[in-house]
Amino acid sequence: MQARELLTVLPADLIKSILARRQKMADLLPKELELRKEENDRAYKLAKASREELQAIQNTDETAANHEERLLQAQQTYDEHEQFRRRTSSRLQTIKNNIQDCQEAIDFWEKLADGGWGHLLEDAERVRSGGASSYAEAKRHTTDKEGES
Amino acid sequence: MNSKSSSLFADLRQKETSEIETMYETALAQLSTTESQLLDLYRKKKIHSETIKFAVSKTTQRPNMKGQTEDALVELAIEQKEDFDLHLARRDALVERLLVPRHRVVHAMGEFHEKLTASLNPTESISLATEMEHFARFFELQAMLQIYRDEQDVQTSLHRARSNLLETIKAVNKNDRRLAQLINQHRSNAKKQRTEAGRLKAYLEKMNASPVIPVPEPSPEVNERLLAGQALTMEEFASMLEHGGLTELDSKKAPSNKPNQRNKKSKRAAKPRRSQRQSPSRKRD
Repeated sequence: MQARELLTVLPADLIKSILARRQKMADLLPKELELRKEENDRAYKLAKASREELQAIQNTDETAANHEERLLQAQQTYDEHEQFRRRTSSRLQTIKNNIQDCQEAIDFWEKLADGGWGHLLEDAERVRSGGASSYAEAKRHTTDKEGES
Repeated sequence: MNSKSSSLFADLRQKETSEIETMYETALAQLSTTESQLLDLYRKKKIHSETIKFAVSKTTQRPNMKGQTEDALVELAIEQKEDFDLHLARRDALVERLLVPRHRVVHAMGEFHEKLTASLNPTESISLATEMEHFARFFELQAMLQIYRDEQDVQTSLHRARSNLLETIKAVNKNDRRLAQLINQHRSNAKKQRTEAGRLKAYLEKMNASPVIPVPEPSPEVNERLLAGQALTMEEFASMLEHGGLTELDSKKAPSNKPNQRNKKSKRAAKPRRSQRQSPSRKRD
């Protein structure tokens, strides 16, 4: 965006854009949640099956032929499936968190859409009324700290 | 020496003393004028140099004009420098207040707007706190950009003030160099005039020198007293210096054996010990 366009952006417009993006995300997230649940179920089943197989091999006679080899292979399969299960579980949790965050954000921005954004524009107001920018204040703060130490 | 002094005053010999006196006075007057002009040039040069130093911020002290305001260019330069300083201070205050330069403001605003509005993948997440932070930053930057637009004249007027000052300083510098040339010319003129005045003065002093009072010849009694080791009066001493006697007295008193002996000795000492090799020098002797 060019400087002129950026200057024309109003708080209400930006809130609308933010809300629109959040709504779009909120619409997509349930479908994504379903996909992740399915994925997680599948991963859970695979992990469970490989664990049972591993346990079965562990319980068989150690003197049987290829016992070590089978045990090693079963262990590897189990590790892979368990890793996959953990990953899918994490993805599922992320989607669940996103759904929650998204809903909170939508509630927040909807409340602000009526003009209650004043507290978010304190820095802008200070700059507009002749004060220092937050960047300048941060620099001064750092300089003061360095001066004290 | 005599030939030198005669050539030095050769052109004056045929002139009357009164005419030379007039020439001398004229030379002094010219010298005085040149020196006062030189002084004035030095003062102007100093003001020019100080003005240049002040204009390029090598010194913070304004040139001391001492109420002499004849040079409009210097005054203009000082005025423009003060104007430039004012604009610079205004620009610096703005920069100190906002800190972020205009191009960075525009760039950062674009970034924040993109982060707040660009569509996201459902697996990507942006927290509400981050959104709020970006929202606040965006509008702070927007306020800063608006200030930059409103204060656009700060930059343009600073640029204009700098250009004007540089042009004036170029002219002052040119004058400064011209003054340096004039000072050199005046210095060489003053040197010539001083030399001429000195020459005329020396000639006049020579011409107007008081007649010499003849010193009487010393009496033999003075010689005897001197030989006896008694004191002499200044007049007696002067008469002996004028007419001789002191050296004659020495020659009478102490016959010049010793110096001869010394000469002989020295000659003997210089004699070659191995005569074959030293023969050409003996021939020369």
